[in-house]
Amino acid sequence: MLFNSFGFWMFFVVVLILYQQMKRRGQNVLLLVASYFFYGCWDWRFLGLIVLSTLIDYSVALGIAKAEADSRKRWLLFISMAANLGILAFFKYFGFFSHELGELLGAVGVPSMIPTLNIVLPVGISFYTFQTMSYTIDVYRGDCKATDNLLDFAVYVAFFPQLVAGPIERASKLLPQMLTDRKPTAVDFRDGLFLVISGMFRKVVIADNMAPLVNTIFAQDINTLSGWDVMLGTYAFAFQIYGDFSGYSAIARGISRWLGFDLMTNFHMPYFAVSPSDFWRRWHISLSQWLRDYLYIPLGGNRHGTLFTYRNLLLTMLLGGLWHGANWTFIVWGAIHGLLLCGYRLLGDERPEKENRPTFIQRIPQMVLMFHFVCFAWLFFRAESVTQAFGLLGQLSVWGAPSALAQTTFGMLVFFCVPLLLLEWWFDEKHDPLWLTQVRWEVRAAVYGYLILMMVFFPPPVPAEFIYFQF
Amino acid sequence: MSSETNSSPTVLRNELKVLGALVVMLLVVEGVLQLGESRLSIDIQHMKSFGQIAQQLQSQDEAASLAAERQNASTVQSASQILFLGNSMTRYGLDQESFERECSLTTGITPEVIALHPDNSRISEWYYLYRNFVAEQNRSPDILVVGFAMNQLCDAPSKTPDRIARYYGVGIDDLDTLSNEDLSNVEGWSDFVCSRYSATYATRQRVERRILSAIIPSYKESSNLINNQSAPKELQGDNVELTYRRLQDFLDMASEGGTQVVLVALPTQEGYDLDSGLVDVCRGKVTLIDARTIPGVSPDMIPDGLHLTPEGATRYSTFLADWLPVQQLMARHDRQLLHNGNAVRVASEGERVAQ
Repeated sequence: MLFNSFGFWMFFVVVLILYQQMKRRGQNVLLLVASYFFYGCWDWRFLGLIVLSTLIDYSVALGIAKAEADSRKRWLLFISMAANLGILAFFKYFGFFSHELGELLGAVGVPSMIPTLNIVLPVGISFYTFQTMSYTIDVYRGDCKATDNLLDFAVYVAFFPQLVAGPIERASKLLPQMLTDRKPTAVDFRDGLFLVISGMFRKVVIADNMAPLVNTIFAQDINTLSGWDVMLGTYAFAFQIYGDFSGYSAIARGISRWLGFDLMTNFHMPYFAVSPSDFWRRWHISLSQWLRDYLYIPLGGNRHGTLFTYRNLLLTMLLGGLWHGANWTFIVWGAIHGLLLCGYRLLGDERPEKENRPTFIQRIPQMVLMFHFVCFAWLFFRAESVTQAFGLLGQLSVWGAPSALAQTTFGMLVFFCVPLLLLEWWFDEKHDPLWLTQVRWEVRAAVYGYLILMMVFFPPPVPAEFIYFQF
Repeated sequence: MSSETNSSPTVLRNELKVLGALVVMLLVVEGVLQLGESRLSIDIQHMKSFGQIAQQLQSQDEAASLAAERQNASTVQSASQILFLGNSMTRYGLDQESFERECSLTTGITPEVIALHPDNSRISEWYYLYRNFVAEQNRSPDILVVGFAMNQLCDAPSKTPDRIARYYGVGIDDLDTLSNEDLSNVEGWSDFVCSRYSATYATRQRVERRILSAIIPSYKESSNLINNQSAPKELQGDNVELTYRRLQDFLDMASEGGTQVVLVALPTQEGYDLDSGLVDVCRGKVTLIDARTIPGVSPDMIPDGLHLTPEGATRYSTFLADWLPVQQLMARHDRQLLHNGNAVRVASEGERVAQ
């Protein structure tokens, strides 16, 4: 059930109507049933995994809260980590590693006895696994109180707006909202409306209209492509993945606001980033914060000297890449971002004080440079294989008259993406991503009118699934 | 630009104003498109006039009466009606004047040609078109010529259910077929209902294409490449077993009205194989004319791969007029109508009028 489908909105309207008639307890029961139904619409078979993950972390967290000895707490945490990562590893990485190991053994002349299984990847497994793990770790660290209410915890794990593609919410932020009364206000309605309309625009108009161009360019025989095709195809993918993922996150936040929940901001105009660290403060914020808090800092962060800091940055980003999927392209993508972070750190990457922040115009050269670094990494992320990515990079040395497809891609980028960037530039100038909710209603209506007419009149040739569902 | 206060009643009032403004905007757009829908494309204009075009077809009673006349007086040369059904390949391929002239020269019969050729259509659409504008209106052409290429006659859900909803005159009678063949989920049905009642929704892809072709460089050329790339792989493969259930229903429907059906495999630049399953369906039931290669029609007369140039259209139409066994089909058509007893009933009605 996609957010940009009629089916989802019918489902949501029914849920919302029932929700408003109920008190908190009933609302949580409804949310749990609705969330399981929502997930079941993807694949009923994997509902058991969510229930299993819920039961394990609920019990382990309670055990940790009751345990007095540190060794017992550590042991319980280990059980939770092993179970969650075990499930994730089996469904997401078993095929990849068994195949790669088989190849390696074959290369040295040892016949591989490792079974290869064709495992279906459960939708959103990386998101809810990380979310449940963060709860147990927070309870272990004492950052969050273990809940003894299984229903509330189950809703926290399976909350349908963010179940399959995030944001990856921390228990310390979302769980308390499950436990308290929720009464959506007019402000929630207003902000939710903005988030839903802008999210739908990004998904339906930007991402889905870029998708066929990107798919066509990346499916061509490499030798038929010129530098124009590769460059513009990569730009188009940059906007496709941004529109797709940030659109999903915005819709998730918007519908949550209508239900009285406040989810974290997951994207903050990432292509206006001026450095790699700035980019990761703006892109998939919930994952980058998760990796920072549960991986980078436990590895030592920047506390043990320069070399260890670089090692930790690289390891974190490599695992961040691997989180996206079992493919070398994602690992290379993570490595590129890790190297960028290290490189910028080496050059003295510092965050300017708010009052010394350069103007937007002054930041343009840095933003353009950073955007191209990001696109370089996207090329690997989108390519079918590392070989293809290098092949495409090689074509960047072949320039001539732009092909018809390159011309169209350029035109589509200007037509669809420039207005989005202008809108975001406006919000950036006001230092408020929800700035539109603060302007006169006539201005808001005019902007919404534009976004809705674009959605109505520029539907994608083929509606595409959200890219991040596969992660 | 003054910012708003965040007090709840003001916020709510303003959001309601925003929603009101959006509703008004959408209503205005809908009104404009309802009025100007036909101007969006020749194809929409054509689809909106399906009913009007189909009215030119004789009713089954008239057909039977003419059949009886032809049977009783061999000198009567009443014009026979030929309905051409197809898509843009037929639109570009049929040169009506050349066809009529050639028919008249070769058979002595000057047919009345009527053509229905919505773009991007295939058997999934032709079925509803024929059913709602011809069969259910008790109309029946003497001969029905269906122009197709490649797999356009095999079973597949409609790719344009929005157009079926808006222009193909579907009603409650069609719900069964729609749900079995074309609309398999909530999304399909929702699209269908929206298109049925909203010109904005139904024509949005046309508007999109018109705007993008006007402002995006090389849009049409790239679209063809993208469409080929994103075409479902199952229809591209050679090992897929094709079925013709809907074609059979279509043929049964046409023959119930006594219409003689002719299927014509149209020429394309690259050529294609005729599926043996299709040949089996046609055997003994309908006439199948193989016009995939026509003397005098060279690949350069099909510049985009599918549509004939005017010169190619003249050659194709002349070829078709030469090869279409009009007299034989008319004889079979008359026999069938008389055999069904329609003529007798019409004749007795005729006598009553005469009295």
